[in-house]
Amino acid sequence: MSNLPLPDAATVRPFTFNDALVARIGAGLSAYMLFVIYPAYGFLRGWWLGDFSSFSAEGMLVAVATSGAFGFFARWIILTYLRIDA
Amino acid sequence: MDTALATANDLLSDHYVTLKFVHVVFAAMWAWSTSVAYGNYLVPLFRDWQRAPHDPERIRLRNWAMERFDEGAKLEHIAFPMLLITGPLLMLAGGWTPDSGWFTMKLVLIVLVFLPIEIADFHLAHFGGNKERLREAGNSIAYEQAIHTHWWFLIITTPIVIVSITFTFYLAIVKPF
Repeated sequence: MSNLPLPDAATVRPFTFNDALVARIGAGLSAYMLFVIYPAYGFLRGWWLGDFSSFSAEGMLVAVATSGAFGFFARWIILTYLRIDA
Repeated sequence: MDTALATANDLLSDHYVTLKFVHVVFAAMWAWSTSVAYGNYLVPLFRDWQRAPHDPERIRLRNWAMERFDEGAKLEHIAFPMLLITGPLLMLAGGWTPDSGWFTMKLVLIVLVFLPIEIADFHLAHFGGNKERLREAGNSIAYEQAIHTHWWFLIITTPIVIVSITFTFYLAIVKPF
């Protein structure tokens, strides 16, 4: 414990966030899943097998539901870590 | 391409189980080696600091925890490159291709989720964002910025890691589709 880094009170600043920012992060993660990960999976399968069934209506529904659920989950987890009781 | 894959498969298939053993050991090391430090030291100390951000003792503990976490991430960051080596070997030895949906999904997660996260994590823990080095350089403004950036990184990647690592283990073990 004697080797702990010394605090520099002059430069230390509080960690700030707001709910709107966290909501945007959750939406961004959700969008990444829907518009990057899901198409990458579908096109890789399509390129290799010639099978683009990942982009069927059922596949898209699963992708939208999964990415939406993940966005809400991410927002909830992030806020759980960031919100501090007084 | 098919011939090259078949040749590689011929050369490596006898070693499939050994490669799998090495891969699983490093996967476990990569996935869980920082979880106790994160959940039981870093998170409580950061939350405590956020309650009184100018308390010198809390700042001291926050900095200590983050610097030790940079150091502790070494185990994870040794394991990840080993996974990048043993993974493709296992793919060739097992003859796995995007014919298997689980394999395709795992490949996509590695390239589009884990790789970017680990590149950022390497930078934050060991290179430009290494807190001990910034402290020794006397750059307290960059030090504070690095602490905030790293904390944001950890907070944002927490839900990603919870879901994607669990899902990757599920894909690899259950091979559901």
